[in-house]
Amino acid sequence: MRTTISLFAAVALTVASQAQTLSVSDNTLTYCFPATSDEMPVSEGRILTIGGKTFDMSRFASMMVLAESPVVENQVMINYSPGHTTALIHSSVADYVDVVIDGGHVTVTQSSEVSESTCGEITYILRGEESDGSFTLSGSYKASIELTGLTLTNPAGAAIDIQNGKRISLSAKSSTVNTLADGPGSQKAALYCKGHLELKGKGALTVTGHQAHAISAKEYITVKNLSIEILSSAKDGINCNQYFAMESGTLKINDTADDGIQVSYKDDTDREPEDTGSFTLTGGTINIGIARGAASKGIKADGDVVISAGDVTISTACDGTWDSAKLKTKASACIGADGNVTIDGGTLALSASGSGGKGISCDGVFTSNGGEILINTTGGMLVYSNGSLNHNYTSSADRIASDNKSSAKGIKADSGLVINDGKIRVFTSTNNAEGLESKSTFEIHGGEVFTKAYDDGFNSTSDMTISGGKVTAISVVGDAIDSNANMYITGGEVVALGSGGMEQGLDAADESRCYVYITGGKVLSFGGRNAPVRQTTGSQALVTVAGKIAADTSVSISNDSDTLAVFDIPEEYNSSTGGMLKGPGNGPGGGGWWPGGGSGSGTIMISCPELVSGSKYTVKNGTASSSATATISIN
Amino acid sequence: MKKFLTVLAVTLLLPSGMAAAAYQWLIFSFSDGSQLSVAAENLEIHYNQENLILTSNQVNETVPTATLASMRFSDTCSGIDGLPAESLSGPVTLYTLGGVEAGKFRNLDEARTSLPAGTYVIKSGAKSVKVIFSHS
Repeated sequence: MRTTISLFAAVALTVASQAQTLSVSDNTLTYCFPATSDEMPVSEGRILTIGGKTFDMSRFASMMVLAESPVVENQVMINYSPGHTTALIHSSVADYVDVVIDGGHVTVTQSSEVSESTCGEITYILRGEESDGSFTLSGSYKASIELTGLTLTNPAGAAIDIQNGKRISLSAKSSTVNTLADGPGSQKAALYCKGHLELKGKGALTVTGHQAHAISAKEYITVKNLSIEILSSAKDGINCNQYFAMESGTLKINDTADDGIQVSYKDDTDREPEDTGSFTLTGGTINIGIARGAASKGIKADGDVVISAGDVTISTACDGTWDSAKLKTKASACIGADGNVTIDGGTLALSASGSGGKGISCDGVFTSNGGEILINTTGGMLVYSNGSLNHNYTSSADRIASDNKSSAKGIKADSGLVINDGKIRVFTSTNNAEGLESKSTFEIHGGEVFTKAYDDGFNSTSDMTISGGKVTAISVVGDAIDSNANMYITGGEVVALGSGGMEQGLDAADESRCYVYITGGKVLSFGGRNAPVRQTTGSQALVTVAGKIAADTSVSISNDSDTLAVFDIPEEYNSSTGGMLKGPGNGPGGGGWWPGGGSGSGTIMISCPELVSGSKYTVKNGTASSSATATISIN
Repeated sequence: MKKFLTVLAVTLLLPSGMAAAAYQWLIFSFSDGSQLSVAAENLEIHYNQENLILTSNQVNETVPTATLASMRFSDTCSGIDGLPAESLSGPVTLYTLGGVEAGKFRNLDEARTSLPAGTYVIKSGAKSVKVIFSHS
């Protein structure tokens, strides 16, 4: 019992003594000691010792008894003020920090003795306003920085420079507005952290990077709750290594001369498990608008990009350029990844207007498992030839080496494209601009996919498979759905509205003995001609009729008693400028060989599970009606 | 058990109740054994040419540091070394710096509330202690 009472009494004394404070100040640095009954020896008439720390009163000439301490245990508070920046240091960390103030520039050296067994983590509170100031922190143990209403500009270096390789928590406290800006110097960012940077708090943080990046960390960056705005930067808006992960808050990035957010590997070899180079969004709102840098990307990751929730709006107006090191063109993208891009949820609104600009581009596999994606690309085709760049190349580029050209595309994936679910809408409008392109296989198993592309709606280098989902592809001058290998349709609802001439609704590489195989689903294909559809096990019958197709109408097929399938022609389809070019040579190629040549008429192919080979069916196309006999294949 | 509960209740009230509680005195001890007790509330201390200038609302005192040995906070004057306990809890007589009796009081707290702000001397045997009262 006595022990218990003593314990409570000790707690009582601790609480009581933390309120009243003796401050010792040299007019710039102020140390705050909780008032205690302990002796404070004085020697030599001027050396005062408080809690083991000595002060020469001829320098620390001012002391005050305060009813309450402005700082609590483990806190250091920096008050920026023009001409009089000061620091308040709680006695608990007085022996572990060396604070030097030179005008508005504050340098804190955190002792290597700081650890959990000594004073523990130190919190640095920054507040006030200074147009010629900075905060530099070095150390080897994790630390927290709290911004409580700070406007800090360094005209010759970083505003905040954290030379501490550990975890740095930086928070803007609730309802506070905080602004950082840098000036010319050798710094990497206006806000730089040598370690991993956890950005948080329910306040606002605005950063301008005049010299390089706005925010940069040598290791990972996480964002929670915080409202961040990058006004401009000479390089990336946010640049970090290992990974970037945002779970909530808002992030607005404007006017960067390079990428909006760039995530790189920290080490090229011998990577730690967390060194993934990935970008992960699990919540919050991101809004990026960039227009300055050549081939800049809204989000760029050395590793994967994974978005499972949140709202992302990215607008890029950056032209592509020639990469003299890699000897190939490079183009802008709203989202670019050297790894995979996976969309599990959230909403993405992406627009790219620079030459060769893409909505999403990845070296790995693009996978959609949910969410909504809207992509609009309007940039011209980029061609590099004889040392000069053409940002709006409108002729045929088939004979131009792939390294010397870059086209706008909605989604481009080098290692595969898989759509399992989600809603995707893609629009492209310039020469060679495909909607969704895979340099490997292309699979649609569910979801809702709509594209209106100037060139092919979908394009794959390897086999293409559609097993489910609602799929609509429109091409202005190309194939609606083009596989450069086989195409397997086993399910789903497919509307493929291609161009005229040699361009088709569904196109497989029959020149390479690859064909279209239909074993399920409801399929409408319209184009200048039909690709060969070959019989295989379980092949589904089909019918073909000639005709025109018009927007906002429907095409249906029926037998004597029932309507078997109805296909709605979307309002985005335009038979005069889109699906059917009028006459040879009117296409982008300008030459007679460019596809076109249609007069609005083409061939319609319909397939659905109810069709029986050899039976007759009625095809209603708008107000027109025609009869056709089902067959199992087209040669 | 009742005593324990009483202590517990007081303890639980401390975060709010004790936050306002503070040491009332800052005691300066000198090498000759004398002490100076100064009301701690809002006290400002400035070092100037080997002196500490003590100021608060109504206090303006200069303390030479040449013989200053230490300082410490105290809850009450019970912390004044060298004075019999009865001088602190019992009747005391205070004098002005000029040696004129300022009054007799039941205890030091009564003296503090009764006398105008200023510096007084408590005499007890061979010891004397200066006390500064400030009334905010």
